[in-house]
Amino acid sequence: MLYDDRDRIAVRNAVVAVAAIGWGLSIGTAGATGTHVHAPGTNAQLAAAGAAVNWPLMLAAMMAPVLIQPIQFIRGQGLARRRTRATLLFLAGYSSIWTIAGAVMVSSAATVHSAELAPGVAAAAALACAVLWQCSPAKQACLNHCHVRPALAAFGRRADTGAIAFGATHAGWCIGSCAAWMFVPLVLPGGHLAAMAAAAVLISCERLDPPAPPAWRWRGLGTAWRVAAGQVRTWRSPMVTHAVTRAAS
Amino acid sequence: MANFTRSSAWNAGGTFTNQDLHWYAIGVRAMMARALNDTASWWFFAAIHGEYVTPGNDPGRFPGWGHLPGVPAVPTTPLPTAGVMATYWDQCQHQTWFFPPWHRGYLVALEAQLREDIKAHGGPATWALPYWDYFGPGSQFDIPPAFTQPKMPDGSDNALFVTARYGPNGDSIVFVPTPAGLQQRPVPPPNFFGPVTDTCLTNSVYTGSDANTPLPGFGGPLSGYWHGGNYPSGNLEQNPHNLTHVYLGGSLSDTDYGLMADPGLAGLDPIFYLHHANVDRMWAVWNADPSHGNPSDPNWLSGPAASGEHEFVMPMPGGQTWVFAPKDVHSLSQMNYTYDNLNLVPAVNLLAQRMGRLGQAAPAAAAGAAPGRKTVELVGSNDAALPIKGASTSTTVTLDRQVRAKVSASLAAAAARPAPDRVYLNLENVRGTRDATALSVFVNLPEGSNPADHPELLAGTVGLFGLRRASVAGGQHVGGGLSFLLDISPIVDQLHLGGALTADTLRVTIVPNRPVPDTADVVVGRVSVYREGR
Repeated sequence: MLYDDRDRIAVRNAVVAVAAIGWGLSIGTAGATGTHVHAPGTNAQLAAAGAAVNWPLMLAAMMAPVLIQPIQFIRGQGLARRRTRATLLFLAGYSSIWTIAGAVMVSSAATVHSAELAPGVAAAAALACAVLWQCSPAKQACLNHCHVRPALAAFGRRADTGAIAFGATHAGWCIGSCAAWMFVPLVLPGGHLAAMAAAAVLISCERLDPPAPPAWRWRGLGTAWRVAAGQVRTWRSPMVTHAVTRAAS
Repeated sequence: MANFTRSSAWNAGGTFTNQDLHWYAIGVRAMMARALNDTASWWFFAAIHGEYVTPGNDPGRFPGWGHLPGVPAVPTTPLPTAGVMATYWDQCQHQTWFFPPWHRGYLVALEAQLREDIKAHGGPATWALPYWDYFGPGSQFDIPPAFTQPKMPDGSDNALFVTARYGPNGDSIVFVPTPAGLQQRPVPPPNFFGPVTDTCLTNSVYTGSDANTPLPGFGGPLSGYWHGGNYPSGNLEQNPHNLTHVYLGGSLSDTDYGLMADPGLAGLDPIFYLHHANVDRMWAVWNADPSHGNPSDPNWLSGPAASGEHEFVMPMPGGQTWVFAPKDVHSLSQMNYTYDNLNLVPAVNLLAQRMGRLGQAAPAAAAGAAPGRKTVELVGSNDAALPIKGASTSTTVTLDRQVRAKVSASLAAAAARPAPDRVYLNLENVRGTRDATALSVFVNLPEGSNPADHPELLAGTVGLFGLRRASVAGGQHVGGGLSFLLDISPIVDQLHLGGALTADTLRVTIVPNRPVPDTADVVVGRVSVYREGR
């Protein structure tokens, strides 16, 4: 497929703006209530209401950046006049699956908090699980599937269902890739926003990794680091030649 | 200043009388005598391009390196260390704007090693890799005879001969189906060979498009950090590079194909490097026109390392290592070699030709003026994946009326715009395992007609070089396969002139080079049409 450069740039800018708004509102919400997510001892109804507000903000803030490429793709796959429709249908499929996952995670967090474990135990366990999953072959398989771009129908109802299905499928692999890190801020006794930010950075950086064979290994920040370092080298001295060993003449 | 001159492999009739070929055979034999894990071995260099010998890539059957027929006998052990393999192996750059510079450096490194071996065996210190100009005069579309003989004149084994080089018809008559080749070697029906051409030399821009250059550009699409695969090959890469690979390799049966047809095997065949020397020469010829510039983008000049990816690394003689980037090899003037033939290809003004075809005056914008803002959008697509079977397969591409009308309007008023719309046919997510397949794509070919009778309806021919590796679920393409772009503007222009650009559909017929059996697995994910307007 081919991309329209202007549309690609517009999508990138819009999604970055949505992420920024998500962060802004998340910070504002945390400032207003003293906490971002469910905290020990909170009234159950109040906690549920808080989660219903905060979860979408958390999702927008943390996951929006990794949706730039899928949204650019789905807009390029279809007719120009259907781009907004395709985008909304994709997001509907995507967010519906994440909403289900979010409900599971928030209620799980509530259960953890109600167990009244020693401070930090739940968070430490969640962090350990997230780290283990991060290194696992299953995580790599999920990351690989996040890069899949299927051919989609261009017309009629099949175009609509295809966009929804792509969103839902993409969400499934996203959840497999990111949910472990999304859960950590939910069970922290404090520092939720900092944890959200750290997880968001990791989630965005690991999407830069090219697909790789599933295996046990450290993954996540390597490509982003190399991209940053490479860009700094390139723009500081673009014409400096690497050490060259020429053929004997 | 160049120390070495790469000359035509067809000098002295392409026989071993041509000393470049004689010493090439000696050098290849010397490199083949080394172990797989020796950085100076033929096998190591082949794996630099691509391989099926490491545990992650060896399928345990063809095309695994341990399952290749005849000669040469390819070793599968000892493997280098994991660090060495990660540094050097599986580097080949395809479907990217790094295609020309990476292969240039690859040839330099191989040539350096060959030269050292040739000197050690009493050969000339001035030896340089010959090139095979299959567009040359006479019957130069045929493989030089030195490659077809199992024995050298002195009776020793000829290292330039390989068993698994089957040719376009699978009969071991190895030639490149250029227009001259097709004239002199008629293709037996139901085979159909779309021609290998050097039309890409008329392109004006290295990446992107302009009035003379269809997407994605002469050298290839802009690519930095991994964007999601499914990039098309650059115009030089698509034709002649990919097609030549596929035709030369050929296939023996429904499952076995020749070494040249697959990137994981191609470096094993000595003809590979003569083919790539010609591709490199074509890049140099294209650059010889002062209006044809390589990218100045620092992200191209610095190579993929600027985007966090693997840098270009080659082993050099004496155990040395060469780390290079396009900025080190982008001009022939930087290199220690030149070619004996860098004749410029006459420039063409394709826009003027097209306007003449459309019966209109030159566009309002003066030559060299800003091309205007570009819009790219889908015009239409077919509605299901398309398995390729038998001698031809057809599908219907539905066109959106509103977008189709934009194309018609741009053609009707082409003189008042910077340029008329360009229309592309896009074969998306082509998957399978039959790399030795060339697909000729026709638009509105009448049902039941002979494709050979309608060259005016041929959109182009694509070679499925790299199909297997791109279709692997856990591979770099995440199983997304290959994608191809064909400029169908000339065909659309004729439809417009004939009043036929009002139909809601196009019939797209795909004709493989040889009939595909029902058991084969070549599938086109989607056939789509896009317009590029200004």
